[in-house]
Amino acid sequence: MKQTKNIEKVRAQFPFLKRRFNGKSVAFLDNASTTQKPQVVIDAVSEVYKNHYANIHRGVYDLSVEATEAYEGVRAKVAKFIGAKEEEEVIFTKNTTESLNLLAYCQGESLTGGDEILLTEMEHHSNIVPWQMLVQRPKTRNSKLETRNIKIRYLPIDSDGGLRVDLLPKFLSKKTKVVSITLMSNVLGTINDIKRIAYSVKRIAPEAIIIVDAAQAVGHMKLDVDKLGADFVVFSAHKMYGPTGVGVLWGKRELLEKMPPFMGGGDMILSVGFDKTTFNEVPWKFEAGTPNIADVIAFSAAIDFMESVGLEKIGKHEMGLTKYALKKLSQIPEVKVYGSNGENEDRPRQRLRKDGPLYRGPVVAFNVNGVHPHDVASILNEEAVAIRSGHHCAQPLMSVLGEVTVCRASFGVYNTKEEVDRLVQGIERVKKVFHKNSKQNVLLRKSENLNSKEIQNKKVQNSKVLRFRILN
Amino acid sequence: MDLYREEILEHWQNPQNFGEIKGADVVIDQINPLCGDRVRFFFKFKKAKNGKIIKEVSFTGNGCAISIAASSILSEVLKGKRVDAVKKITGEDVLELVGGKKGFPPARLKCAFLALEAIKKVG
Repeated sequence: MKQTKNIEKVRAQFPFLKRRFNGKSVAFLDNASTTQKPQVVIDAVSEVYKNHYANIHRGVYDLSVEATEAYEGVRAKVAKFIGAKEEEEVIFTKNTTESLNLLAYCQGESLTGGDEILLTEMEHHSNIVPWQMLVQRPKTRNSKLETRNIKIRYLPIDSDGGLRVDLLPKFLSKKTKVVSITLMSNVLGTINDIKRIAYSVKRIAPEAIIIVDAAQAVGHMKLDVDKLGADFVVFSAHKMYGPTGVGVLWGKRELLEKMPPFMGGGDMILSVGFDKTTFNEVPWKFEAGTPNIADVIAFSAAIDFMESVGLEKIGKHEMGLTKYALKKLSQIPEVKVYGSNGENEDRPRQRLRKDGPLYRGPVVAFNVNGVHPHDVASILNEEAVAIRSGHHCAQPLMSVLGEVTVCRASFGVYNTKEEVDRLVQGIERVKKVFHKNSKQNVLLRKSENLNSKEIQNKKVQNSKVLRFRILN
Repeated sequence: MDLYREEILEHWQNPQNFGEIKGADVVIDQINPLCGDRVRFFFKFKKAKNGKIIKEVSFTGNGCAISIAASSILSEVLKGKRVDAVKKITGEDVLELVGGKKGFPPARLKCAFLALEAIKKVG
């Protein structure tokens, strides 16, 4: 009863729930993509522009001082929220992608021939492509362009969607200079035990820096960067009820100080002459140009919101929904769930160490047999159920799963059991529409059948084609 | 509009001209970067007085009901037509073929147009 009251209180803070689609409020199950905003965050953005807006770090007038204090105040708040030792270790970027590109560009520059980068099969494109671009970018040496000769390796996953940490000794060596891993998979929901991974990295590849992509995790669990064992942690505000256009890069001070700047421009300098520039100190060295002032300041309201509900409560609520969804989906024979099925709660693998993280977060990837995810999502949309369909910016992972695309439902603080029920009812409708006649030919169109045999031409009865006039 | 009308579902279940043409004159691959779906069109031509004619056309690939149905319908339309006429097919034509442009969900236009983008490369 109390639970119901709490969730109603939370839902009342989100204006998007008042909108109606086909007479219904939207069951927003695409939180892994981005989260909706509570009223306090929406108000915070407009409050900055109304009363406290000016450029930061520049003016001596009151408005600029206010804006600067508010902006820098959020830096301190974020540092505290993620357990960073110093606020100067927090750098604001545009999003997680920019944070990762910054690292691949600036930290990656120190890599030389024969070095290796270790990623995993479950990474988002944003943690793959910047590293591939680094490998492809020629290096100037003795005024000649050379290829970098850096190798990227991918740690595999098992059939349960877990990372094969047992293979780390095979994938790590003294050559490994960067290990960049997601804290939580955006497709499978798998939570990786970074502490355990960091232990192996420090032992086998002592020179490697460890980067953690926390974009998916940050909205669902308490981050403690200091205890995680990572050197850099990146995430975005928009996946934790904050505004878009704000990313965070946390890094250990000594590493940030060693890194060259990313972009040049205003605010990242101490002094500029015609020949030479002295760069600003960390973190401002990495924040060239006018930043996203209003949204950074409003990000503060999102942190307050999450803390007012309670991170542990948010996680518990979402995992309750996840388990409920996994149970309901497993009762539909036509539905295949990818990754852990949620039934292994008590298996030893569930917690890799006694104090290790949970096995998975609130993301459920699935397919309905023979029906393309876009078609599933379109039918669900008619019921005002918003899920994601596609490759989820994880095409290498899709190939490991043997799929081109999957459906994904992901939960947030405002979701309810009733919304999970609507998802399940929607899938029943998908079955009605697509499975009503027969299941023939359905398997024919899998990607591996690009080389299919003879051309089929069964009669299509209602075809309008013959009546169509174009080209005649 | 009803996106999944009987005709679309029938084409999805029984795609016309689905398969490979051995010894095709032209093979075209097209990818939808949004979802990774791909279609491959095969063409065989025959010479005629007023230019080349599409003698045979077929397709393979994977995709949603909309893109499969659009490929299937277009393959039927193309058979026996002049190659240079393919250029004349517009997005609106395709939407008319798959059920009308009125109310067609914008998010699914890419699905409907995957086959069109492929066959446009034929000429």
